[in-house]
Amino acid sequence: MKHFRAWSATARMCLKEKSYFGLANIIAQYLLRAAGLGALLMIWRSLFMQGVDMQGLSLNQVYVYTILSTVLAPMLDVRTPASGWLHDGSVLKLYLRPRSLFAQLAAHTVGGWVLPLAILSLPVLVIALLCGVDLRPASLWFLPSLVLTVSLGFAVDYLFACLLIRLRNLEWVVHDMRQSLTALFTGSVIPFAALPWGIGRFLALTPLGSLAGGPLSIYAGLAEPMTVLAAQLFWNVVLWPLALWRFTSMRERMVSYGG
Amino acid sequence: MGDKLRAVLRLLGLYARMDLNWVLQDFKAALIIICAEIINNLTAVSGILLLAVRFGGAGGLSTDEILLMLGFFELSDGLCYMLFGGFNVLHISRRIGRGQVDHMLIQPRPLMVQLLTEGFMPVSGSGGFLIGILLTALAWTRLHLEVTLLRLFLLLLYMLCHILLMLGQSFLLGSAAFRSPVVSEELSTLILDLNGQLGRFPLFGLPRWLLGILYTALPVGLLAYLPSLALLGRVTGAVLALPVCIAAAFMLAAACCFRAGLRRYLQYSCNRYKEMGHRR
Repeated sequence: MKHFRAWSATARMCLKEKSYFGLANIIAQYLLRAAGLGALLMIWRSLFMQGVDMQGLSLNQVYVYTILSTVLAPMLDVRTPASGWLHDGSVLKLYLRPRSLFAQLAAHTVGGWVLPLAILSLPVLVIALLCGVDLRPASLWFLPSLVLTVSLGFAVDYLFACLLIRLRNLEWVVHDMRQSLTALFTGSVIPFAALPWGIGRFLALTPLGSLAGGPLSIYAGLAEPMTVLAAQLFWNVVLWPLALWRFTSMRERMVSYGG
Repeated sequence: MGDKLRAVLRLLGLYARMDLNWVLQDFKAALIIICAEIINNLTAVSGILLLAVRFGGAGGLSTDEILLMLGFFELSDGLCYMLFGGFNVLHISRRIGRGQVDHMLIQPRPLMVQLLTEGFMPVSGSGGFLIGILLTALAWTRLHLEVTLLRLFLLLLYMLCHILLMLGQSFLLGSAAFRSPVVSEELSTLILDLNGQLGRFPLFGLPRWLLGILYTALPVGLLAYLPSLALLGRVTGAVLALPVCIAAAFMLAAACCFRAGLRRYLQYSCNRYKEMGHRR
């Protein structure tokens, strides 16, 4: 209980930290995401309006997939503060506290989810329901898949932090590159089932493809749950030891310019 | 006027040399950054392009027309970042919000000349521009578009409009950082990200009221969609002048707000730094 209180206090601190740039900035950020969601929904709608052969995909399925990718965004692409703190040097403070490094990073990350879930996810869900989108999941295997996605997301994030240490703090480069790669290769924007030449089937089996694409495909009924879960379990087993080993060995290489 | 122009060109040359020196001094880091930029630009266009390939087009445009639109966006956006991407000139709210306008005011050059020159990074920042040239040329060839003077003029004009629209929006919103530096520090980034995200989408099939907004108040439709329709000969008449008018309006509003903000800054300045050097 004592440990949980310490953990939840850290999560609350992170929630407050998210409002550092003010309300206008927060609202603008979420409007930006909502606009991106709206644009993608319009594209899907226009494809269906043109009478394009969607090869098995229904409009509701792609709507559900796209809406959930925004609603669950923070969990589908886990971003701990590790990379940013390595860049500005505040990662040092984590080593001065009597808590494990990973637990502190996890607390900060989960605290950061509260605001997007409250400000963006809930309103989007309500609006989608009011617009008549059928948001019932195709399979409840979606839930364990989401848990595995979050777990894998932490491991992938620690590996990106290791890459950042290795590249001597090229934070914006790693950030931008990760942003681009995850948008395409995790299936967070376009369902793998909608990609040409069958490349979606290959991507779904990759570590990045096991992130967002896994639970979203199961929820929307676009993929076989057992195949997705097996791939996610496999990558969790492989990437977690790798991330822990690399992070520990990279500790000696940490260099920061202090902002 | 001639002296000013020569000074601008000399400074552009200086920044180009500094950019090249940086690449040569830390070749490994520069290579990583250039590769990352190429990957970013390719993945940014590939989402909508893959959809178009799979379904034989998207948003009322064929696959090759989508390619032209994306190529035009990368070309114009890449040029914009190559000219103004360095030292956060394009993300001006960061410079203002972090109190770094002080650094500019003590330079022996007019502020305007500094803003026009110091963002120039022709070597490390050219990835998007080069990809844009490749994609546009590829789409142009595949569509068998005739190279006419009018088309080339429209291409250059709309590239200029794209740059002015980006600068205009960034400086207009970014000027708020003169008044509230912390809250507005990332406003330019937000508006530029929004343009980058929505500017690549074809807008066919949207309701008229929404199109109206996306052509005027939030002019993402003028960044690539309308210009590519014009290049394809799908729109004619007064609509062709819309990007010019809106870009001029944004630049004018940005200039007024920036001047007003600067007057305030000269009175109050901005103190964002801690003793250790990092921002509050």
